[in-house]
Amino acid sequence: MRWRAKDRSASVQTRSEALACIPVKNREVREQRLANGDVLVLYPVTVRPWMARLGRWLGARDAAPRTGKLQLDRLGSTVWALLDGQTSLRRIAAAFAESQRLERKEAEVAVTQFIRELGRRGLVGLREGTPR
Amino acid sequence: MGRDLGFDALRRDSGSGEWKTIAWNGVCFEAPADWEPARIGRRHLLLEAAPGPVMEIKWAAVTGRFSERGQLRSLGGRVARRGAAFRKTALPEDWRAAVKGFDAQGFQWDAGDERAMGALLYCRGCRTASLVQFLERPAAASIARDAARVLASLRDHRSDDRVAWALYDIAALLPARFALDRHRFDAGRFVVEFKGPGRRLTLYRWAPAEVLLRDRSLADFAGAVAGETRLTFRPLAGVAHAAVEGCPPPPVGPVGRLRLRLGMTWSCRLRLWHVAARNRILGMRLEGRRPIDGLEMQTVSEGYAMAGERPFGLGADPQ
Repeated sequence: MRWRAKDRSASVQTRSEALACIPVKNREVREQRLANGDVLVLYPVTVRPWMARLGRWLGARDAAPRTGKLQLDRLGSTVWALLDGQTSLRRIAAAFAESQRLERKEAEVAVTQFIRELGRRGLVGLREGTPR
Repeated sequence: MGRDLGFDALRRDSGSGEWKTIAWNGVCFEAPADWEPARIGRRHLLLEAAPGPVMEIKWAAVTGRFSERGQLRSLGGRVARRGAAFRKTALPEDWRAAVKGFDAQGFQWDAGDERAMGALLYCRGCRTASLVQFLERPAAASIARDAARVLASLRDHRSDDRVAWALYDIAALLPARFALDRHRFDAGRFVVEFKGPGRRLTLYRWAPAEVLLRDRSLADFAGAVAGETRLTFRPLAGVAHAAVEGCPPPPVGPVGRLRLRLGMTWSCRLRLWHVAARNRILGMRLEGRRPIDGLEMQTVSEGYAMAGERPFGLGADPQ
């Protein structure tokens, strides 16, 4: 029996398709505007299921849900304000580039890295959009 | 190709909107403004636009006899591994006129979802071989006309012993003795390092300056960039932008002076300037064993600016 190589063709996303995606904030997330204009994001932190099971097995009671906090800097707060659940990454990057007078490509890289980091923490998800 | 592109032309084109100048490690050409570098190597550039990659160029100095057949066979082999059909072709009429200073051979390959048309160019003047290919997707608009203009503007050497550098929003015209060592283009921070005889040069660009200088001065920011080099920063007068320059403390005692004279002390100068109109901070660090004087610092820094910006001093090619 031969090992079959994983078919990657279906999962490959072009840059254009990736930039057409629409970032959507997690509904569980709350935000506070701080005095200096930065945004503080508050999000529920769930214990990993196997950790919770281990805790119960060791006799610990279920802990109250914790709240994680993430303070965004000025640039992060600017991008966060642009996440309205309808605007694509490309348009967010363009607006960010214009507001900060950045190169288009540079803004795209900065915005996509930031959204990826937010996604890793579960603060935003990506909805598919229509590529240009 | 003896035609040179002066620094002023390079700046003018870079900021003009529709087309811009791209210059990297010896090659220089014009490209549509929306073609952005996607991959930057020492002697390799891949440019992309909205649909994907649009142009790739690789170049190298030829040390022995130039073998056009060998180069094309090698390219054909690489392309064939991707399942594409490769063939040598005659150059289109407008391309032939565009590359008349080079020995040129056209080629094409087609991989179904992507196809390319390109040229292998050899400059007898500087013995540099360049492989240029323009990539198209079946659904995308043709870039053949743009390709002819790109090729017509392609230069692989200059006559004034300087090398032009222009990527994204920075442009520099540096003495040829500074060879590219390392480069890093991160969002918000560009660093390009060069090595020269007895000297090390680093060019910086940071953005957005408004955010970086929100709660600290340019001198404080420069101090953070300098790290542990113990430079003393002072504002620079008589320059177009707010600028600071850091110099090492003068040698203390006869031993210190002797160490400096014998080249046992590492000299370093760092200059940063705030291009407020473009929301950028540019920087230049010059290091070496020999002491660095203000004139040397000034001469090199005059050759570095934002693309499309007026030069601080005279930076144009004298030819």
